[in-house]
Amino acid sequence: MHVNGKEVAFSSGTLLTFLEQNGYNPAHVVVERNGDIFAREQFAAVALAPEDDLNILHFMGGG
Amino acid sequence: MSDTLRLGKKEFTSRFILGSGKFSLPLIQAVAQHGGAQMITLALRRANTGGQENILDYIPRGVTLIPNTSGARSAEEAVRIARLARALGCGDFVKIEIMRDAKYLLPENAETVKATEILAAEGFDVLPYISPDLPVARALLRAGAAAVMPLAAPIGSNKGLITRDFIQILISEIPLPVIVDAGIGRPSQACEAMEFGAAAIMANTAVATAADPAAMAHAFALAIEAGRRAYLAGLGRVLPQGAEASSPLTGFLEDGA
Repeated sequence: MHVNGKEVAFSSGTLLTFLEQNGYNPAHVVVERNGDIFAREQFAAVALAPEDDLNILHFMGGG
Repeated sequence: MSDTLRLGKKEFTSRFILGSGKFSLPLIQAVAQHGGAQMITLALRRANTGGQENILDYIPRGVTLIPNTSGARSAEEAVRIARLARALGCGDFVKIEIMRDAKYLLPENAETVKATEILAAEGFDVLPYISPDLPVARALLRAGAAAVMPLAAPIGSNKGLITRDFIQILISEIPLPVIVDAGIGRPSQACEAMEFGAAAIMANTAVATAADPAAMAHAFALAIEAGRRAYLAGLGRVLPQGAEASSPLTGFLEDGA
């Protein structure tokens, strides 16, 4: 599985569990999975797959 | 008299849009409060693991968030970033910012028009950052932009109103709010742009690089308010040459000089 451009070990489960177990705050992020966008209310319904490519994004300072 | 700025589906009494880059998180809070900003821009980036603080916790309640598409190099990427930002639940505003030029950071106007067409059709309130160009601004109007955001000078330069005459052309010809973005370095420059009819001012670096950013945010708020009031009051005329006395043209005690 790829997460934010890096290869990580796949662990089966939902996107929500992945975020919680890997130190992301699900309330503050949006996830792009294989090009599709998932908002926080959808995280629990997404089952991860070994070939998934995730981008986990959040707001930061910017002009 | 109520003088509000209508942008997209919202109305604002402050005409100061604050950029949140280059600040520590606690400083953003102080600067936003001192500047009375009702709109703050943000960027979207990959999150790191490990309980990092959330910038949204440092933005005063009630402030409208304006995600930008910084990092986008094409219309397609800007659209992708805008959709991701909206999924974070911060509303429909997006500031489109598309750049390929790493030296001067000048916006890609043509790509910006394309992204505006797509995002406006999806219900976004689109604030496109552009080099001030009248045909491009007209295309943005047709595309459904909520405003146009011409640059005053290169981003982060604090050089002031280098493009003054071209911004004035947009103000004169485009029936959308014209928000001066990028390059404004001093409150006096913000004031001048407001005097000649800008709808709002966006500033970030000028505040972030000041010795006392919170105090500078307050100075900008006052200058923007002063410039707006001057615009509404109607500036006095300029004589092409010569002088016109403000006092009676008589001698102090006797008629005749």
